Amino acid sequence: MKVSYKWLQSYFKESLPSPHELADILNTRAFEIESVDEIPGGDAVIDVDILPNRSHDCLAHRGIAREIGVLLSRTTEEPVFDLTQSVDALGFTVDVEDPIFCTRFVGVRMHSVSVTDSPKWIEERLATIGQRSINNIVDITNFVMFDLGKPMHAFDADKVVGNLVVRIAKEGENITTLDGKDVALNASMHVIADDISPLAIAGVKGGIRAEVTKETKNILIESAVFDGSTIRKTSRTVGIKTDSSRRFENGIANQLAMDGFMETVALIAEHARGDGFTIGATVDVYPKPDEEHVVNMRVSKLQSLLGVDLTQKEIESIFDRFGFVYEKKDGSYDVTIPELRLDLRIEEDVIEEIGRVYGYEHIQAQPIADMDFKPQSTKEYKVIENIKNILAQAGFSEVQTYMFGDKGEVEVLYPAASDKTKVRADLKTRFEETLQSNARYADLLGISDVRVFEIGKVVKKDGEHSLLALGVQNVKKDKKKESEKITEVLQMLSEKLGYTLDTEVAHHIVEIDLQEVIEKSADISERELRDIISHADDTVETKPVSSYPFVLRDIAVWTPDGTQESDVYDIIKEQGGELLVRIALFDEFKKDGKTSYAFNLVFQSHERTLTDEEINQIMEKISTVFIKQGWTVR
Amino acid sequence: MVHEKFTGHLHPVTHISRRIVGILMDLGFEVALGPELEEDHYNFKALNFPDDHPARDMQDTFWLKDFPGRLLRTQTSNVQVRYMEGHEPPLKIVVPGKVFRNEATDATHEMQFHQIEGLVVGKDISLANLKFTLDAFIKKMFGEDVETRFRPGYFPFVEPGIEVDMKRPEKGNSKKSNEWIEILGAGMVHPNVLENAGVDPKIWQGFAFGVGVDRIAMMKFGLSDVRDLYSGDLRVVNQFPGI
Repeated sequence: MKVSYKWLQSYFKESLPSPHELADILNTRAFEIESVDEIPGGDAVIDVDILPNRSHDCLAHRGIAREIGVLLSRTTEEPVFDLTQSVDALGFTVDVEDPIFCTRFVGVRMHSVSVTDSPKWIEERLATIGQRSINNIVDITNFVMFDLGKPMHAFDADKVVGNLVVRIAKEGENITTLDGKDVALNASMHVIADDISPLAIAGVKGGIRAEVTKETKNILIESAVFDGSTIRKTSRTVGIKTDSSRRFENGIANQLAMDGFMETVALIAEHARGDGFTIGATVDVYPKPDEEHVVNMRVSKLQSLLGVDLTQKEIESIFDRFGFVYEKKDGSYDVTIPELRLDLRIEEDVIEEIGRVYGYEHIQAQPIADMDFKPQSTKEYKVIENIKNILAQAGFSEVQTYMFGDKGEVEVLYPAASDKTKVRADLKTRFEETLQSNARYADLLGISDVRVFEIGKVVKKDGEHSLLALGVQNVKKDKKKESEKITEVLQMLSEKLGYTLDTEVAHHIVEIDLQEVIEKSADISERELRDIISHADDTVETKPVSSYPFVLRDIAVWTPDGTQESDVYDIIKEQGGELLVRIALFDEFKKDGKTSYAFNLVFQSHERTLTDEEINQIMEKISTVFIKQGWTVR
Repeated sequence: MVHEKFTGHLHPVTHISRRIVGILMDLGFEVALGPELEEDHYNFKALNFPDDHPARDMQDTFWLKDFPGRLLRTQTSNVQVRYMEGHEPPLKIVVPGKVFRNEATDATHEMQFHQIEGLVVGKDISLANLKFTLDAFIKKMFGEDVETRFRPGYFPFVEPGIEVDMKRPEKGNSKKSNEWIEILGAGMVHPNVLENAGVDPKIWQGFAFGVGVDRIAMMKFGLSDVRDLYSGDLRVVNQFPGI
């Protein structure tokens, strides 16, 4: 949530630390900070990542300000509203049909408001957090939502026919939302309606029929609490996510309905008062008031969970900073949870509050004491890692390919891309492509055949399977057929695993279900497993792969007796420069006291397609140096 | 190097996973695995993600046609309850594996990636023990001079929940100061999770942590695009050693 630094400051008498300092404090003690942006006019926008555990009270400036108050040991200055002025008897009634869905409904009718532009400060605060100003009434309801975290709604009272009702939508009912979208409703959703039709999708979006406009004279204010999981479903079904639905989804304390209501009415009375302005009697439908939650927190549990001994004074001073009411018992505390803290229900929740405010950096690391546990790692892991080593030794490269594609037996719901609608049912289908695409790079890779394997899971109609796929593709002329190479490696695998893989090898790709292999292979000890996985290198510095074509050249040279391969190699490397990406000796023979060396050279650029001409120039440079040595280029 | 040794190559994810698993094995952990095709129960519900709870939005899930109530696991934490159902504490496990998120992909986001989960349950396992274990792991993995810090985080299956950051030492000649990098998520196992696995939270408590392998592979190997890990391209894989 984007918060305004100035807005937060309005909750404190003394100056807050700078925006960046404040962000650091919040980041290490409360919420992750995404960004801090200083903006013209001396304000700053802090993007605070409020997660679902605190969305019910901290998707709001006041919630974050209270958190800052705890962390800085300061008290927030919160206005107290008084609605006794000019109350008249103009009431309205609301019928709440399902008190489980709508746990509280607070409302009021206000007469003779003046709908104009908002006061500058409200416009500015909303603009800072990216909210457009509409008119004073709408802006005030928005302001209250971002101030207290309580979504509010205002209806044009003269467009409401009869009484309000919070009810289940009827099949076939429709609503046109404030942004002009026609939405079909059904009986899984709840609406706020009048005698004629729905006026709002409860908790999600208001309708256009009772919209507050410049012409509006009289209004109804709604401050209700709706069931989070129902709002979540409705919001998904209608495909409308709003700042309001997001807040309801996470659950809202019933207390907040009254807080939001009071602030809204007070701000309207102050900033939207017309001639003859009056406020009706408050309606508060709240059949089952929330019970008080008391959590017993044992000091011993606090110490064993955090691994730190806090004194009574330290614990109590943190409770005081939160403003928790607590009672000291023998070795524990009964902590009365503030109404808005829906996240604090068990002792671990309270311990977390103490831990983070105390500061995790003050907790000293301690090794785990000896425990009565003898590791017996799963054979599945042992055998799979062993297979990887055996295959790598046999010259195979391990690949991992995608779980998703357009072939398979099982479809994905809501696929992220149209070519990734299915879960793979085998590994071999994609192997053909893997072999062929890599064969194109054989010279660049310096290989005469492509040998790859993959170990991975697939999903078939009957569930998941763990498979091994092996593939070989000859690139250069080779007496040994691909299937022979696979047969060889399978024999080697069988020997080393102590289990015979009797897979038929007709082609250049085989696929083996690993379940039986894992069960029947020889056992591997923990120590052996540790050795197997010690073949791991996390220090490799990779070079980026170039997307430009590579160019292949050969060079052969007669050298006098005694010339080493490396003498030739070094000259080629030096003269070749950075475009020469691979040098491989492919032929060497002696005749009449001279030695011939022949090399394959591969050229490639990261920036462009190389021209024949520039390669020729490099080849020319190499030849020139050879000739200077007195060697003969063949 | 003039002659290249004739050898195969292990995938970068294998290299990093093995390093992490090895470090934890040396600290007395046992390796456990779990299914990729998973039930809602083990991936979410038993881990204290209620039905229709916004916490589920933190992990975009691949649901499957024809397998109602089943999904491709979004986290290797799915093994927590599975393992504890079959093993009495105390226990100390490390779980490497592939996980899936139904998200748009780019250079730093993939629909599939690898995680390693750690879980320790004992009589008085504490946050101080978690700190020791993760400090030891991070220093082994990134160097003795790396700093770590714990800050509050939220995952439904732990309480308290922790985010762990690390910071590399400042290099004398580097103008830009090194910043804290988020490296893993952790916390103390939520009593509901223990209970859901048939473990009595009055007797047992523990910690859990999860680390993303692909991100570490990118950091360590200087890879700029996570998608290169799954392209089957030997121009990438063959830059890594075999055995």
